[in-house]
Amino acid sequence: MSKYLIIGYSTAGLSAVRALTEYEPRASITVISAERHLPYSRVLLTHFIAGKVQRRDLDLVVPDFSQQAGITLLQGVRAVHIDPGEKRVMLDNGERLSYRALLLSTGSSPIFPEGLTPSDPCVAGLRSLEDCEKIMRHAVPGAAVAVIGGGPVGVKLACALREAGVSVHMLVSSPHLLSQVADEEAAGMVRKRMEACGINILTGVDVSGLEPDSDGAATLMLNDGTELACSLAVFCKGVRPNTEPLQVLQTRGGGIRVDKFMRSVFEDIYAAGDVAETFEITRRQYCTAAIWPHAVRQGRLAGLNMAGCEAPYGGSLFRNALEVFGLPFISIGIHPVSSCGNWDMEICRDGLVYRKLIYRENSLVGAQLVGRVEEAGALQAEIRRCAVQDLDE
Amino acid sequence: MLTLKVDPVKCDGCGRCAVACQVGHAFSSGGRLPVFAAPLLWIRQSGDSKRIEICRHCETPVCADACVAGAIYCDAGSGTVQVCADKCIGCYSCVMDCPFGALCLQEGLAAKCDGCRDINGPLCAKHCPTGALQTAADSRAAAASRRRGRLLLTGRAR
Ligand SMILES: Cc1cc2nc3c(=O)[nH]c(=O)nc-3n(C[C@H](O)[C@H](O)[C@H](O)COP(=O)(O)OP(=O)(O)OC[C@H]3O[C@@H](n4cnc5c(N)ncnc54)[C@H](O)[C@@H]3O)c2cc1C
Repeated sequence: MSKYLIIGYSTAGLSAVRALTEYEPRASITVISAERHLPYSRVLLTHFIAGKVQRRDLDLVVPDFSQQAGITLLQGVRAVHIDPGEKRVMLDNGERLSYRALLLSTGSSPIFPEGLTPSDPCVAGLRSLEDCEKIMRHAVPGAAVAVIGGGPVGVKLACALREAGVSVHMLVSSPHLLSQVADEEAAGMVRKRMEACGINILTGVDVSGLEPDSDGAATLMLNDGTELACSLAVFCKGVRPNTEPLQVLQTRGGGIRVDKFMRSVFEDIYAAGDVAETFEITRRQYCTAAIWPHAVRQGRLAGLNMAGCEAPYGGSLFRNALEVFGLPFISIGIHPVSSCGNWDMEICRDGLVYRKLIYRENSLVGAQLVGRVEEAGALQAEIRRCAVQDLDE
Repeated sequence: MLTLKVDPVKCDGCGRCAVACQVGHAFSSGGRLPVFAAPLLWIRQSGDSKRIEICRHCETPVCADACVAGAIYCDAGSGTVQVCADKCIGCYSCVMDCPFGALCLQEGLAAKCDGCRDINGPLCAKHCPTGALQTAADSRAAAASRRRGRLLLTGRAR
């Protein structure tokens, strides 16, 4: 029996392995990874598509890391069921593993509209290297690709495809791009830059169906009655936490809620990264705040806490940084979708520079910066400081 | 071991450190005719006053956690935090996460204080007239300066 069992070997899982091996050098650790690759940076996948980085640049560890760290790595197998009472995990190859402490770092998966799946040759998501390879097979200069969804991943993918010489159509159901993280004006600046670089953006439209053509391409039916021909439709309409192994015990549809020591409600089961629901300090509620730095930090703290060192997590803070053809965009914290409540805004604009600070009850809770972003770090620290102060009161 | 102590409250924004940084780096790279690159520390407006923003070379650097390309690392020998230019993709993640505003993008890559690894003692501190930057004689002061980064980000610093 391994003392520590980790399911999912990516940003959060790797971070936990590093913390565990540092804190308890000879710990027995088994890692279960559905992927056949060693951990790689998902965030760099769009840079890979754009041709800016090589395959080897994606790797997060050296090839013999498992031996160096002294871990047992099972690749290409999935955990299908966890029995928290028996402290046992069942794998898809029939094997059963026991644990003393378990970490779920299974991340999240793209959401597809009903009736469409990535097994369709013209449909893809963007999450794994395999997804990326499928997109790259279609991303030949002159081909047309539809990117559905106007969030940060959609924006990054559209830009990358354009840089690879592809003709890109972006379909966004919200009235403007980046609607979860930006206001209309900031998003408008991003949109303008993308359009100037040749990306076709349609807002307020959704895909209602997809008809495969005889030549391997497809026609997308849009809800405004029009059609769009493309060789591939990539859905970037958000992600869902991979909670399957615990599903029987899961009642709500969200992620796995953890306390500040990364512990779930199940004894000796921890969660970290995209699959975990943590306390978000500007929203003041538990949610999955699925970004890279959270996965790194939560993974590390989960590892330390599993090893018995009490290391509390200070809470999550939603944030996103984008670089859109040379135009930087950063959004931190919350931005009000409705005007109800006690919100104040401070807005400065100057040509290609936009700066918006958002206050709730006189506390800084959000910031959006376009064009000039040097002060982002200081604003982020200030938002954290305000949130901690407000919580203490 | 880097022993730079930062006390931004003492900074009056005179900017000598920035010039010293540029000069130091121009000459340390070996050329007889120096090419002045941009400084690796910044004097920025903060409210009504100007303040220095420079890397603390934190013990557990949040910039390294934020880096999605594995480009930011702790150099154990010198005790500094460094950016590997070959790996950096200029994504702004580190800029967004450093509470000290110690990173910015120069020519598309993350730039920050390199701790003057190649010369003896950071020139910026030598030329600071107010004591905002000091080469600390005892390493505990420098460690305290670094640790602040960690405290701030666990949300418990006051
Ligand atoms: C294209 C793209 C761009 C992004 N850009 C940014 C960005 O700019 N900034 C940012 O902060 N974040 C970005 N993100 C988000 C970031 O990549 C994630 O937050 C981060 O990867 C989460 O890490 P994780 O370890 O929690 O999960 P994941 O990286 O999703 O890894 C989970 C692993 O667990 C495996 N797994 C799942 N279920 C099982 C099972 N039952 N058994 C065994 N293994 C299993 C999966 O195959 C996977 O390997 C981006 C994501 C994508 C896809």
